[in-house]
Amino acid sequence: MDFTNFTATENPTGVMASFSDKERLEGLRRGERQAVQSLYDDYFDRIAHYIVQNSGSKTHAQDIFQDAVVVLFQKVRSPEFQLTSSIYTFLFSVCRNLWLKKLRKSGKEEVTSDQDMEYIDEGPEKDEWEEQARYQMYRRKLRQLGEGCQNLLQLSMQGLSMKQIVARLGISSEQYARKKKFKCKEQLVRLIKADPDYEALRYDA
Amino acid sequence: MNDENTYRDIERYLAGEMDGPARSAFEQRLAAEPQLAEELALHRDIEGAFADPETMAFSALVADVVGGEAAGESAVPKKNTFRIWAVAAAVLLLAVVGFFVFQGGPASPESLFADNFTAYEAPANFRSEDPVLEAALQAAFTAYNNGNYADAQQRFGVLYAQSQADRTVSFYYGLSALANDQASTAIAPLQELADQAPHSYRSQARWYLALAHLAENQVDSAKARLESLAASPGKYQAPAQDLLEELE
Repeated sequence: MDFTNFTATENPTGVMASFSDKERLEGLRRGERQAVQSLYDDYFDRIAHYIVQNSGSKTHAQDIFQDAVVVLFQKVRSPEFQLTSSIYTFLFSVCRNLWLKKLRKSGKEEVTSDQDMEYIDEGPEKDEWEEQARYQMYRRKLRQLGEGCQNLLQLSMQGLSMKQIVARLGISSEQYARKKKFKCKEQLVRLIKADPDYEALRYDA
Repeated sequence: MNDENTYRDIERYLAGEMDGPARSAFEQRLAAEPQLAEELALHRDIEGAFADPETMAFSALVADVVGGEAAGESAVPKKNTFRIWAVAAAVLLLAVVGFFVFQGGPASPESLFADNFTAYEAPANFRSEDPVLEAALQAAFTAYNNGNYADAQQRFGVLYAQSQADRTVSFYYGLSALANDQASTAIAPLQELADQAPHSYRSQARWYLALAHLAENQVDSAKARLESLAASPGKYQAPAQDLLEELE
């Protein structure tokens, strides 16, 4: 389904997509903490309820919710983006899609669904959402590394030369930085491969 | 597949840095070794995930707000205390050897601070019901986001002096001072935040307070803060564990 033509629907309070949603989208586009906090405060509990009712845990819900918010962030940065549904409908749709994929991989079925809500069905958006979910898993693993490793790997993958990285991070030598980068990346790859979602995400990649 | 030469070949191939013969030889290996091809696909995917700094920063922000990142369930074996200390001992041995081979000596607390400190992200805009306060905060955050930490410290300092009840002001006052090499000034506001009941800046305040103590060569105080973080699940648990190992 073409997301941009999706018809407007109600958010949980029964109010159509409102000025506050527009403010939140603008806040998200600028990467503001308040905008993210407001989404969490207003929508997390209901989405978590759906996931827990469908064989998930609160931690699963937190991860899936994070993934959906990052998907929305990617969307709002696009110049052509226009949200014609409520933010909640979008977030719930992404979360439901990602969670159902996990359920299918573990051989389970959806038990309950949110009967009150319409949601965006799978369509050309699905691959984008699942790619971001996979990327989010990698980012979570990166955050489990020490801050030195995180900085080193991020700067390296953002295209900085080893010379620039050494200068930026105050590392003693390029040789030491290369050794440390290898160790950090090895650790990251090991964490990724050990994640129970790795095989499921890789199979569809 | 996890040896350093393979990783280097993969990175050079993905970066387009292999010349014709080397590239052809590597592509022949890819065709003949499915495991190498899978490893390449994973590394390419990882690079895609980390390529955009804005998305990385936003992802970290969302994780901080939502919290509780899953460590993985079912297939991942639970750690036990012996394994943690065995791994820590092996890491410590490697770190000591690595330091003496590559740096010629153990790292000082001040250099550990330098290695581990990065300025915490700040909003581009900050709204307040009080227009005067909002304007002052906007100016302070603009200075902070432009890396003008001396100016940011001065601006947040004025607001902090007026009221220490605003946690955002206290936090960024501390961070500005720390980024401006004024760790002694950073300690008080960060300590207040670190010792309060749970709030959205508490774990960050504890981490940066530990770093401030390191910058001031207050190793015992730093360790106490790091031990508390290392014992609590969250964003700073792993970094605190790493830093404690380096301090030992």
